[in-house]
Amino acid sequence: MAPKKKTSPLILKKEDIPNFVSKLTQILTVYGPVAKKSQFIFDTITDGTQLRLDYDTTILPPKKYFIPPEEEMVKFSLKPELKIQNPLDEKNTESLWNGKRFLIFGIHSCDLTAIKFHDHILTQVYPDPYRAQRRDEGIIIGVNCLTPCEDGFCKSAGALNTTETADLMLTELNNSYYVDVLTTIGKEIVDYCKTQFSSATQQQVNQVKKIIAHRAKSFPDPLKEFQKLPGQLEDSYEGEMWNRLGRRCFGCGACTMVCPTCFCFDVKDQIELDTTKGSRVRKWDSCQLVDFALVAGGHNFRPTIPSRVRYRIYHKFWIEPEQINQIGCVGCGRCTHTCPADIDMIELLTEIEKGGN
Amino acid sequence: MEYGGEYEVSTENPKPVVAFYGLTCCAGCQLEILNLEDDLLDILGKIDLVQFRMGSSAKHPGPYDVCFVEGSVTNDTEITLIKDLREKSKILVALGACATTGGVNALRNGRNIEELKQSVYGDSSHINTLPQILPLKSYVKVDHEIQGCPIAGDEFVEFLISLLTGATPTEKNYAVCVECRINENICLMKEGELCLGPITRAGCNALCPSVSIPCEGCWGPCPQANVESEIDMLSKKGASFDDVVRKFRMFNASKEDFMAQLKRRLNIEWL
Repeated sequence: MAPKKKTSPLILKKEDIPNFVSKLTQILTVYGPVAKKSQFIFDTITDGTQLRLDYDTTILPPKKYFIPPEEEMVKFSLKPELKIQNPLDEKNTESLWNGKRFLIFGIHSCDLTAIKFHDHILTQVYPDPYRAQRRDEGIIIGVNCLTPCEDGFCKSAGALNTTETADLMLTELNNSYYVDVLTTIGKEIVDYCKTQFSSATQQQVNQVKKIIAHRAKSFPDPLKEFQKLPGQLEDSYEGEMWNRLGRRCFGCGACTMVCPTCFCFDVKDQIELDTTKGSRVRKWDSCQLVDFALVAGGHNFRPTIPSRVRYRIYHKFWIEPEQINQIGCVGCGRCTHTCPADIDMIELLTEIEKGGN
Repeated sequence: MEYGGEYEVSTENPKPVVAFYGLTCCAGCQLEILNLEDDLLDILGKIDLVQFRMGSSAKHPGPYDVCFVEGSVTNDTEITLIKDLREKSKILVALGACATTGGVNALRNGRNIEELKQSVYGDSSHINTLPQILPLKSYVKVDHEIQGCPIAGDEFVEFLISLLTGATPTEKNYAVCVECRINENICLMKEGELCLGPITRAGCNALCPSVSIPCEGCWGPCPQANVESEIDMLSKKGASFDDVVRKFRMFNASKEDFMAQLKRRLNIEWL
């Protein structure tokens, strides 16, 4: 990532956002939150008016642009004279404006935290060159979330104030957005659309400080012991709570599909109908699915729903903190929001905080 | 050519002899194959299709390398036919809900067949039919099942490629919810709808939920389907006893384990 560069804050009028975004779409692929019936999703923006910066949360996190649900890893041939092609060999070393770059507009702090989490774990523990390339290609405009969403607990998860990983960070201020320029790429974006930005006044700087301070106080904080969860889990492994939970859980994997920090995938060779060539693809997988821990010979390390539910919690709240000293949950609340069995993450973690029996 | 045999790819092999048969059904699964217009020529380049009534009136007595059978066994003639096909075929594949779960034909299960015949046909002395509909595998050994009402063309093609390359066919041992999330559908359960997605095998790419129609379970139950939780959640959304029973029976009335769980949970004997 480009180094940080101190640039004084700017102001972008709300009425200028559609033009700003439209101008960006001329040089970049732009993704951002758009309405899908009563909810929101990140989608390709072709016209600045589609952008819904007032969104609460999205069905899938912006993770899908860094780790797509399905991704080709390598093309291969079943005939020896044809070569293997690795898409990473075509690694693009050209300049910023080559059209391969993309920009995600309007990411909230929870998802910025998740990107930071992946930046750690997918470089230090499980280096992932495919994601790394996309991460290099991606530009991020964050937006400060000022209204708590229904199921979120970002404040408890320590994800409320994250701006790291964003190139520009926006804060709503009356009829404008206050813009923090955080990286040199952010600066380039601003310079490209220079006429639409003006400098923020000292009064506006103070106003935004106030808004952020007020947010820190007013957002809900349902899990006071969040950082202590790894220790608390040590005593809960044999707890009856996992069986109770397992009786309700469908093992459907919906929670992991929508999770911004989950990164597990399955690898599969897909051969084309002519049976002479194919590609090795990876697809999102989930620790909640019955085949996940099934190995050759037929042994399944986590054969039951309770064992898989428990594993998910232990992975996020115990194993990952041991690996990179960061809990694998950012409090976005998507798992609660999407669970067909109405399992509530806050209730579940509260139970663990209370001893988890 | 052996099912799941050694990994061997050779275009010099003679093309496998493939036949399609239909038992009692709407023939929608064979129609789905006809609908694979972009792939049909490639498919025909790879197999020797000797019987396929959607495309030709030609018949072939067998034997077959691969025999695809759609539909349910509903009478004695079909029992004889399926046993004969089994003997003639190296690989027998059940195609679609009627052949894999019994499908809607199994709605008769648990009801008085004489009364049903009377109400549908009046004088029904000439109707020869079985009182129970069972999946094909209850009658003969089935090597592979392709689910759905109707099947998904891409799952058929994927299976065909496995056969041609000697690879083990993969099964989607998870629920429709996975596909719904990847399609970024709004969860219909969360919207208060009666959806069987959480206990139904994936493979349809969440076809119905993607257009806001709750899942009816035509792919059959997924492994470890949590029936108890499904009933609890449907009840929570205001489903009546009858709603739950109807929903579960729609495509899966012949799935014994599945119905046994339903009976246990609802504390009933009939169905």
